Amino acid sequence: MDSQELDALRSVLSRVVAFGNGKGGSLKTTLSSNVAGLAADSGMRVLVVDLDPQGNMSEDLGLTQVGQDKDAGESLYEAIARRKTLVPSHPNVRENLDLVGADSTNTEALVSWLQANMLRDEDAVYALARALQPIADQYSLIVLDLPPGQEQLIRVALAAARYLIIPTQADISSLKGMELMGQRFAKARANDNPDLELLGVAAVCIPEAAKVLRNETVAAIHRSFGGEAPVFGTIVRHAAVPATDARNRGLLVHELETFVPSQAETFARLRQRAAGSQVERAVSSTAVKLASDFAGITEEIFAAIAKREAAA
Amino acid sequence: MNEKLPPSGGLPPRHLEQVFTPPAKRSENLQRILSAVPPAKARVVPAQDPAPSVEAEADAAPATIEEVKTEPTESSRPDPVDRAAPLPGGSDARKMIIVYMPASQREWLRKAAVGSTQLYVVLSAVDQVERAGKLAEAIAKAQQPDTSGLFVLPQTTRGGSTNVQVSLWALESHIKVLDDLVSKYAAPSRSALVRAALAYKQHHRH
Repeated sequence: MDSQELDALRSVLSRVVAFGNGKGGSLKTTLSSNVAGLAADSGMRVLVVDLDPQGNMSEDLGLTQVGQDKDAGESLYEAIARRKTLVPSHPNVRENLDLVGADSTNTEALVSWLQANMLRDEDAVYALARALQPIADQYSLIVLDLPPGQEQLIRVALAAARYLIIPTQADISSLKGMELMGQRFAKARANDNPDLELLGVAAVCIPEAAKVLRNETVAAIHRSFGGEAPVFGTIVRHAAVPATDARNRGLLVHELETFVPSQAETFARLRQRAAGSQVERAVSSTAVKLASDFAGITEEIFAAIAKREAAA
Repeated sequence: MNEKLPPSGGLPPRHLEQVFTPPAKRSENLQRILSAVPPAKARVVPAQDPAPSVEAEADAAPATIEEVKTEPTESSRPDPVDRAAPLPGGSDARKMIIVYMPASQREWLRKAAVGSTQLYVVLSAVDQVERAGKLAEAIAKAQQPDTSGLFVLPQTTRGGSTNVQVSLWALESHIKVLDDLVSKYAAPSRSALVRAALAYKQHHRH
């Protein structure tokens, strides 16, 4: 592809945001699903493309029932390898939210296809961009959830994306994963996609009370990037109970918080328990705080995109 | 003490419910921050075909077949730049087409497109070979089986499995012209037509 053709492709894919970290379990799927869900809830049409063979995005969006995530990943494989039109495997998983799901079998096949084709055709790196191009104008935002490994998939994703967000936890393994993603970002910008921008690093899963750890993590992120790194001001707190509840129930956190009982309901439950009744565990009130964190970081992400679009 | 206990003044009601209640909709601020329509989408379909000038093509191409253009009908035919211009009414959208060609031809195309575009080189080649009245011959030649080896290898639609893909962003009018020529000369495919035109141009540099 020459530069003119790439320009045309990139102008269509101006709101493709990739979430990636070189380490698994760094909250990238949870962050990307919640950002996408909030964007859809605000009225935007959103497409989520799950590129992680674990397919956890389907669970975050509630497709956990038997058969609901069947054939996830096939549509992406067909679109890339057979050049068929990309069709969301799960349209309208929420109002305004479509999902292209993933599973291990199809992702493996896709990786094999990319391995073979990227050797003989340098344009194969734009396979995902080309697959997204015909449907991109239907969406206000396209979210890519990257796998931690699978270099070929990460490369085609970064070639299609306009922005990259790296979530990281405070531990050294996550920070190493962040650095690895930073190296991939630099490589992608140099070779495949000079328009790709690091929108920010999101510090996640750090307890609210751990002020020192929060500051140390932000300092470590800055050090890794050799000075000042774009770090989002909102730090998503560690809240294991609501995070687990959200995934287990197939709800996004802002949806889960609506099930937090009121004070009157809480007292009623206490009375029932005191009377010896079996009472199901209530949704933790921490869900409200966690939902607030996700809303805050989504607002920051939107503001950062709006700022760049205004400057363009 | 029969006096009634005076009512307590207390604090006046402040209606502080909203302090403890989460916002009705977590996403309500998002609509104000970012427009639902990316501004870049307005730039998807250019109003004018940004094909480079003829001078740029002359500078970029390793060779031309200007000497072949000797037929009197030449002047009456549109220049490829004109042909690439949007159709009246401005409804000529761009589409990506894929053509398959040998890796060596792709390399030649890439070099020929320096300072220009691959699309321009392809359209220019097709146009020039057609003007020279050699397109039918070129297509037929390209379809001839290779008899240089021990076996006569069968021809495939893509011309062999060693072909590579080349993506071109063409206007619909470009595609229509290419497809009309495919029909006119009964070429096996659009790729076969392009391969034949490029091969002819490659082999008739001087």
